[in-house]
Amino acid sequence: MKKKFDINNPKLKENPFTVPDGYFLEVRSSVSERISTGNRESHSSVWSIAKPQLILVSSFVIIFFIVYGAFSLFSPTVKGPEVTILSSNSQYLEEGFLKTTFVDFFDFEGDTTTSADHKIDSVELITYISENIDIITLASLE
Amino acid sequence: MDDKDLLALYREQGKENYAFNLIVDKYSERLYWHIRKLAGSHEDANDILQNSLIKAWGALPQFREESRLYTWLYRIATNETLTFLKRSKLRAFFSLSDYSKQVENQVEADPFFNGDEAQRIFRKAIMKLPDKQRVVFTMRYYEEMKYEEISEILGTSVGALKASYHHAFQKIQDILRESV
Repeated sequence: MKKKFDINNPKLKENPFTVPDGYFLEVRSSVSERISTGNRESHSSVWSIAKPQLILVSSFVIIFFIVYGAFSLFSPTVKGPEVTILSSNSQYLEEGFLKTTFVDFFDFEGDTTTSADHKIDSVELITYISENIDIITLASLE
Repeated sequence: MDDKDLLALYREQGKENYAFNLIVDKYSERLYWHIRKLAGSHEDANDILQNSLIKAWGALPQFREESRLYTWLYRIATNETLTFLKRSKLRAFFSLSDYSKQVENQVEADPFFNGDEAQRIFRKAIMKLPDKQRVVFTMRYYEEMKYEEISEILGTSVGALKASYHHAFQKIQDILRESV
């Protein structure tokens, strides 16, 4: 069974602490000594408490940036395939258009459909001339 | 020698050091016990006491006797203790250690603790209180000071002090109920 703790017990109000022998006699001389030497305070400032930790954190941040910078400088750049195709196609189209004149476009030999349709037989050609050109025109040609 | 005489002596040319030594002799012990109950260890209490007395020495020329000398010294010592506790917490935070565990260990390992087991448990419970509640509780419970006196030292209203003491009392009872 748990024992009940009585906060109003007078024993609890008694001072449970002690001090080293002769301590209070030393206080006066310690304080006088510090006053005469001009030593104002012995405790450390917030900066001195946090200094080692802040240095550690800043070191980590600097190392991180160095490693990150080295990776981004020396690693090969990989671009997306869609972008490459699009850019190369547009370059091809652009260059093709610039190098091709209007006449080249109609005389293009690769256009086999057009060339086959316009082939004329030599017999047909002579027949056409003989029917349509008179003797004067023939004489002037000579 | 009463406070008025001590202050009159202090203001006499060339007698500042002598008068201040008398003030230290008269009040250092009472101030020490006040600080010790708030801070815990003897080493910390000793540092805080010396810093408080040096601050008092530096500020004594500006002391206008608007409050009693003892109240004024008590205020310096209390503020100095609160600043010290804040710094200790900051130090524990930066060293990634558990402050409450540190305080508990301090009570366990204190070579200048002369109390029994019940007093040790009670001390641990008090050290778990927030700093300002601990100040109010200590002044009222151990030093049996009137609320008006505490109000004069801490610059807090009597109503706020009563509420603070009530909360502290309840918290200690809860902690003790859990630990016993």
